[in-house]
Amino acid sequence: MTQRSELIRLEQLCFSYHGTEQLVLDHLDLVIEQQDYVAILGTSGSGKSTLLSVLGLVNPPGQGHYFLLGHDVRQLTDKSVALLKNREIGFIFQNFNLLNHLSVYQNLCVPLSYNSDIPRSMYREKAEQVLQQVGMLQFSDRLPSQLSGGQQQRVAIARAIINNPSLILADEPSGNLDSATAELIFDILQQLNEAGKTICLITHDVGFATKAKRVLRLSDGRFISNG
Amino acid sequence: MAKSKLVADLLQNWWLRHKTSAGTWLSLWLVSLPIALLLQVWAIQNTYLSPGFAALNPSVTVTQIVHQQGTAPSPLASYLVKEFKQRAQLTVVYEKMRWLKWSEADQEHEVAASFISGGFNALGVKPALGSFVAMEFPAADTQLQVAISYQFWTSHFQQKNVIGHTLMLNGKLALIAAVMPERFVSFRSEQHADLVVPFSFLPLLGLADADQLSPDVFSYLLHNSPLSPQLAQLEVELKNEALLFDDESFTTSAAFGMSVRQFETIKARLGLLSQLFMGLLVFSLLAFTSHIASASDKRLNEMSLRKMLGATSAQLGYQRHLEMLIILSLVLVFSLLLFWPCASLLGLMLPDIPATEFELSAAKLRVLLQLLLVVSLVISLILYAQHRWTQHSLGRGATVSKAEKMQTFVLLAALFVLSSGALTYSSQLLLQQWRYSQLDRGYNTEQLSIVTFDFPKFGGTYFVNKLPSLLISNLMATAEIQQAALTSTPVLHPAASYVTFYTSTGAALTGRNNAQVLTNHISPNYFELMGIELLQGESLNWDNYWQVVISESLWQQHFKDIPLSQAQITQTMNDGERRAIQVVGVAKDIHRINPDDPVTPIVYRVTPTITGQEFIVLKSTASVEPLQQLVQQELSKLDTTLQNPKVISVSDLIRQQQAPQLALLSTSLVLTLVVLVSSLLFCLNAVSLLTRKSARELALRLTLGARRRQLVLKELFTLSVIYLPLVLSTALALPDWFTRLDRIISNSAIYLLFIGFNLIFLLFILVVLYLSVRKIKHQSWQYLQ
Ligand SMILES: Nc1ncnc2c1ncn2[C@@H]1O[C@H](COP(=O)(O)OP(=O)(O)O)[C@@H](O)[C@H]1O
Ligand SMILES: [Mg+2]
Repeated sequence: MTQRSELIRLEQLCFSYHGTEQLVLDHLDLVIEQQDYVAILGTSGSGKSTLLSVLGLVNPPGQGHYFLLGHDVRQLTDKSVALLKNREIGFIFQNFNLLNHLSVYQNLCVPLSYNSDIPRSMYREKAEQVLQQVGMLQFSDRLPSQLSGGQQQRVAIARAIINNPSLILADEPSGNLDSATAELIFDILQQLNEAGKTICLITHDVGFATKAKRVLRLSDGRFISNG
Repeated sequence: MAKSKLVADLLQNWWLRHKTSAGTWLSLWLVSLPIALLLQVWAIQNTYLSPGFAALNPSVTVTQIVHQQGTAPSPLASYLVKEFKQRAQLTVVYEKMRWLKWSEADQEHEVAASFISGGFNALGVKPALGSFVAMEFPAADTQLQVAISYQFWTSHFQQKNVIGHTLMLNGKLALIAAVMPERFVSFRSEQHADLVVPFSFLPLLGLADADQLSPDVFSYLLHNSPLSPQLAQLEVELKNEALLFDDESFTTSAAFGMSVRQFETIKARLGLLSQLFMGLLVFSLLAFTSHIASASDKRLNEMSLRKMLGATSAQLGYQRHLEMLIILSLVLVFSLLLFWPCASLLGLMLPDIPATEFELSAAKLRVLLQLLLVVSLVISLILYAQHRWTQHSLGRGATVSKAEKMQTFVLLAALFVLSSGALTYSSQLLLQQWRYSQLDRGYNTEQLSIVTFDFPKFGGTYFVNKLPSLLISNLMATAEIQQAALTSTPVLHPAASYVTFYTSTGAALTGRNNAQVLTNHISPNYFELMGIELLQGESLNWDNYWQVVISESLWQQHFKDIPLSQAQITQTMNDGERRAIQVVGVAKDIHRINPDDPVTPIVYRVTPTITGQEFIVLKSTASVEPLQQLVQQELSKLDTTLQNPKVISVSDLIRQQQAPQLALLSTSLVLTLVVLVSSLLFCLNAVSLLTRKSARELALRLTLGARRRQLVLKELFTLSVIYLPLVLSTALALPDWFTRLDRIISNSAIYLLFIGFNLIFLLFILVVLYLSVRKIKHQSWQYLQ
């Protein structure tokens, strides 16, 4: 077994939304290593999405520490936060969050446009590569409204991986999909993990959770068992 | 019961939501200001441009008719009146003002008389006492019957029944037939009449001869049906019969009681102002709308919450109507609050019209309500459209369409370019005004007053005596007057006399190509009082008429290289003799009328006697009325024939001189203020609405690794693509628009200012964009869920 390096480390991490007292995340400790596949289960309102937002650097951590790739997130400048979001994190949402006025290809270009390492001439090639991966190559010129829910989610996955991030955060990716389509999505996630991506998945479906290497249960902002 | 509770709840809700919203209050005031200004303009139009000012209530249309001969306007001549009557059954009324001498016991008073041919009934004048029957177009050979004003009645007759009493007017006996109504002031604007006398009695009172149809007579037609077709036909007929020449015509105007030209000027100015204020109203409504749009977008949550909590759509509609009503009432209240302050503002903008007491008559109230109704309709429409629009764009938070964004940006760019233009213009005006106030007139204007007085003239007789010096010393002996002097050519006054002098070389002593030079007959202390510095020599003295002081520019031109004692000029007397006059002093140049005119070359000479051409100049801290009484006292002590002194303070004269500039300045400042505040408000609301509507896109981009700066700069770039070309093309056209000012200001200063203001606005937009995006970033998770 190869020595895996640590991707995420939470130490006594807390979080409250601005202007509220409630600790949505309550002194969490967690380590996620590279190429791990973690599923987080929990009732609605238990703080799963909030945890994901903090992990994805969308919400800043409260008390405690969050180390991402060895960096203390609190110490990071705005610029490095933006850089990490762009290069190291891919987000998948329950409601896809595609830009409806842009074509599939243009949607894929959005994260590329904030990545100065990739020249514009490479966009087409990059996009085709990830679309191939999710099996959507023939739809690249469609608008999101011309796609089914499952197809939209596949595009969203393609967008999440286009900058080749090490971490993929998925917030109930199958929540809006029928079970057959959901199956397809989880297959893609499985492949991504096998290809070396670290995945942190939120789901309410215990069946899909079992595909993960580890299952965590969150309740009122605390982990109740480590699997 | 339940309804009133709902109303109270909604009112309270509105108040809580808006009490701290600066934008709401600002936009309400902003809309109210142009409305108040428009109301004022319309009130003035009502007061001045309709017969209403004289407390008339005509039952017919009153039209002033002018007989145009070439370019010369004159009242309708009597031979034409006859034709008008015979051919078209049109009644002509003449009106003019004259002073009459009213003898009472052994006293003689001057009284202002309004001569009018008749038509009291048609004009809607109802006597307070007596009757006008005998004054309706009476023949000149009947008994002279007159009406007295209500004021005249109260002050001279203590309101006794005076009907049938007699007055001695210009030596003729007149019977009092009526007392005018209390509110009647005059048939002519800005004047007041003590008496109303039938026009046909002008000859009897010794005022007729050449004056009867002098240009100050106004002629009116009283009619019911439209006038122009009748008039056109009459003109043709009269021309066919050679009663009218080819270059003659009739022009008509609604002017009542004022000269047609004055009427047209005021009408044009008022028309322009009302257009301007209409434009401002559009701007402020734009800002207002953007605020409402932004506010109601923020409130969508509240509305859907209320719906969830069981509010029926009827109740929600009720709430909407109630809010509309609140806004309209507030606009109404604010407009009325601003109405009176706006009167003084308009006083500045319209210096030709003295401030009037605005009385709320039924007719004016009607105009007021009409305007408010129109504004209410417009605002209601906006609110309604707004409501529709928010209902249809419920899928909010996604992103705004390109078209929507472009629209907003184009509007924003246009507003800011306009604001910058207005700011540039105003700042140039301010600069010009400031420079003007810094100009040195060459004399000291502080505490200075000019006094005119009547002096009976007895042919060409002069009285060479000590009168002038006595008058001066008597005046200076009073405690209130610090200094007094005489002058024949006062500053800031058109009075001036010119005399021909020659230098010893035979050249005409003059500063210009004109052979004559302005000559000011003064008392020796004039220079001291006026603070005019003597550069050489000394002032004049009372006893030597053959000495002069000349102004610096004359000295420089004619005597520069010789000593003062050798400087002489000559004057040719009536008998052809040339008399030498010694130059005893050189006074600093002054700008007699305008500080930015060239200096006036002046010869100062002592005034040997009071000839009736003199003015007194005074230095005094006392105000005008006490000064006037004091001067009257001193004058009559000296000589009872010196009468009627009128004191004008120089600061008032300067104010009058500056009134047109001030009018321009105040108008442009009001314009700038409204446009600027509207633009800023619009910018704040539009940008925050835009970012809120594209919140999800912005949040997503931030999550995908965009930096705030990138998002802001992207928007700013789009805006600049629209904005900068507009700025540049406007800048190029700007100097043409500012031609009125180019005397002082350079084009490059205009470019610089204009572009500077625009850059400041661009910076403002940048900051607003940045703050809005920052707000989105803090809540981005919420928008992605
Ligand atoms: N934007 C927010 N502001 C305040 N409280 C929030 C916000 N989003 C979520 N919460 C609260 O945080 C808690 C956890 O929410 P969330 O993380 O969305 O739960 P989950 O995803 O497990 O359903 C809930 O109690 C919710 O009310
Ligand atoms: Mg959730």
